[in-house]
Amino acid sequence: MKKIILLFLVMSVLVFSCKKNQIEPIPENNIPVFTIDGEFGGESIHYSAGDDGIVMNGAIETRNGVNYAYGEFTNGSTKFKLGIFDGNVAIPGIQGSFAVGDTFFFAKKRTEPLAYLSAAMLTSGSKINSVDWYANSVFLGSNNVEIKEPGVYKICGEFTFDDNSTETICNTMYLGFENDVDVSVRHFLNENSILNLWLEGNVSDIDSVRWYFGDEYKWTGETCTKDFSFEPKLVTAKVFYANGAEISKTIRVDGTFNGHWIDDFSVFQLPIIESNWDYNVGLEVERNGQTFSTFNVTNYKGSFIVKKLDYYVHPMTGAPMIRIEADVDAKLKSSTGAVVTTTLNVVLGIPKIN
Amino acid sequence: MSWTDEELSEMAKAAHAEQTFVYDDSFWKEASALLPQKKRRFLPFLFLALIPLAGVMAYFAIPQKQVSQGEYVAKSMDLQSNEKAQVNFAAVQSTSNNSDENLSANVISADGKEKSTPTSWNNGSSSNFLGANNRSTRVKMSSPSIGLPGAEEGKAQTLIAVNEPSNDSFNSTEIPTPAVDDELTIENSAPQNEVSRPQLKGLELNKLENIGFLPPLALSFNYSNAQPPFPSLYTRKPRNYWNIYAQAGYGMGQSYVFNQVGHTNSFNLGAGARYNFKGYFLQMGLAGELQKVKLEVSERAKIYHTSSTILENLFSYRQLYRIEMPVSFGYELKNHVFQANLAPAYLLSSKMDYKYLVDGSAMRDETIYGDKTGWKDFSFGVGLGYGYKIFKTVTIGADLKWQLVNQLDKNIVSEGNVRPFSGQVFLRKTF
Repeated sequence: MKKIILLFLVMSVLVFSCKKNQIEPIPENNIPVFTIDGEFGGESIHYSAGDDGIVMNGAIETRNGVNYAYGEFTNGSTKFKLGIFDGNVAIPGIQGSFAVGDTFFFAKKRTEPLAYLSAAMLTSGSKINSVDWYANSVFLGSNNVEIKEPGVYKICGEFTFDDNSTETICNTMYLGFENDVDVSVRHFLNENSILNLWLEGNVSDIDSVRWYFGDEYKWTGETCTKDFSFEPKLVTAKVFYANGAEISKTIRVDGTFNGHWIDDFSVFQLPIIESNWDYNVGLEVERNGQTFSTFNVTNYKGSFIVKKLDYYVHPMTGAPMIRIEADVDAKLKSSTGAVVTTTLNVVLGIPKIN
Repeated sequence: MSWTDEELSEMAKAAHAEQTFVYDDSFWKEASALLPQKKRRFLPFLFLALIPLAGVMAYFAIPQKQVSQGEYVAKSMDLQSNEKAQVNFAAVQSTSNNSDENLSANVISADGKEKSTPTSWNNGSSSNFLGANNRSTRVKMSSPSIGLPGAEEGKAQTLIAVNEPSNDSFNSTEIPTPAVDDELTIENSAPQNEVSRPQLKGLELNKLENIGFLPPLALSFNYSNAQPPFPSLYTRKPRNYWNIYAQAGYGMGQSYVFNQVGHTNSFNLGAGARYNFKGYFLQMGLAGELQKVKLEVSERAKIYHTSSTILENLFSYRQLYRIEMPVSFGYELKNHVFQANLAPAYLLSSKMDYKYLVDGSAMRDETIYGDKTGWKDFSFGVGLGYGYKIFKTVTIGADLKWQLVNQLDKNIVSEGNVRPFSGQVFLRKTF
């Protein structure tokens, strides 16, 4: 019996003393996650990310200062790019609201300008010899410039006055998107050099306003009254809204009474004729050497209906995405003017906006 | 009643006179044509089969423990009927085989004196049956009375006489006191196929009829320095008892996977307990087995996401480490051991070359111990085995095993060999 017990002990030691390296099993096969099925110009199409060299790139790009989240199926020669614009862009932290059954509209390029930048629009326009306009650091032109594409622009004007003095003023303009910070600064400088500053527009949700003369903080309040017997100086109102939005508005005040002031740029904004692009979608296709886009054609009957919506985590990178399955019915216009219709079932992934 | 040497010689000659062998060349050619020409694929298994044969041959080549003539004569006599037999055994030596040549005998009287001269039975040539030094085989007996007066070293003597052997004499070391007949009697235990029974009866050996099945040389020939060919035939263990055993084995088996060439080799070492009862035995043990395999297992998955990624695990298994818990039931027929085995086994670990590939690029390339991907923990096999006891406590044998529950996990290795056969040779020592 002793021998048997000893034998058992020896075997047990051998068994349990072995060092064992475990290998994590690889995951099981899965089915394609991102696909496009349907018809395009009467031709049946099927694309699966992962097959035939097709990759679905989900990314966010900025178009005229607005986030455009898209999913792009491409294998080099063919490309389907379907994206959606952000909305309520002035309010930080607002995530686009997606829900099953939601219908999104296709964005279309404007035929009418959204803003007209011209010194003549200013009350001091007669004192301004010329203006060079920049939008998001891109030179737009001199003196009179139209903006047709919706976007959030940081418009900068380099003004040259009649005495050859210059001033550069920059302000943010929300064009073609919902402007939740639609407010403008007004001022009046009386003969006693008392400057009155106040706001016009969407003031009901304002939380606070801080006033600066140059870089110098002067006052907090929706209105500001100060002695202003200075040389021309920039006055800035930092407006804070209760919903977290904020905007800076800068004007030029001339305390020397030479007429070299510059009004708030909101005066350049034209009345809205067409709908904003908040949460609008767009489809661009490169196929058989041609480029098609929904931006070039009116899609009053087009639709993008969300059928399924969930979060998806990329298994390799761990990046979170929003996976949208949608039925797309749209017209697209090629660069040559040809119009095609498409009916697609699309499953695409876009990065989480904001 | 007695015979002279001449009479005995004549009777022996007569018995062998009709045994002639005629060589016919046509028989040989006919037999040669029946021989298989080439079966190389069975060479490994033929090799396995030859191992026990080699063991048997080795047995004869290795000096054995001396077993006294008295012991096995006494035990063989136990097989007789209760009929009273008074036999005086003469020291007889076979100088050749037991068939047809050079059989001669010295006939010794009860008082130890030679009554006759060496006589040739067959070809007339004579030899000294007691060996070159005229030495008889000494008899170990528990009863001192078995030794006869006058028996001395260097002289032939009456070795034994059995009187009324008991049925339990197998288990007893006591041997009945022989009754020595004054008359000279000779027991001739030449094989029955060599000396016909009527002739034996003529020698008044009818009282030994029922010992005829024993190997002929065992009965009455007194070997000088000779070894019993099958000692265990003349010994018997206690009826029921426990012991333990240790066993080592080497085996070869079919590949686990159909489409992969090769076979498995295994080495095992184990021990266990064994219960013996009435010639049967039941043994249970634990054996560690090192199984050398050549098995390529791959896992491949295409993972779709924003594109797709091919993930591959390549397992090149080299060794499996198993614990086998064999349960054997068997029967021992003299030196032959027949056994049926149940062999549940647990896969402890493995050694393999492992590669992890992502889109064809190796992310890991190393030797891994312990992973059991593609294998099941438990397997189960049944088998039959044969062994031969080359020593009293040492058995060499071979098993053929059929794996009923495969070690391979068919969910991963779908083309696995469902129930591979394997064979092994083993050497077992009982304690």
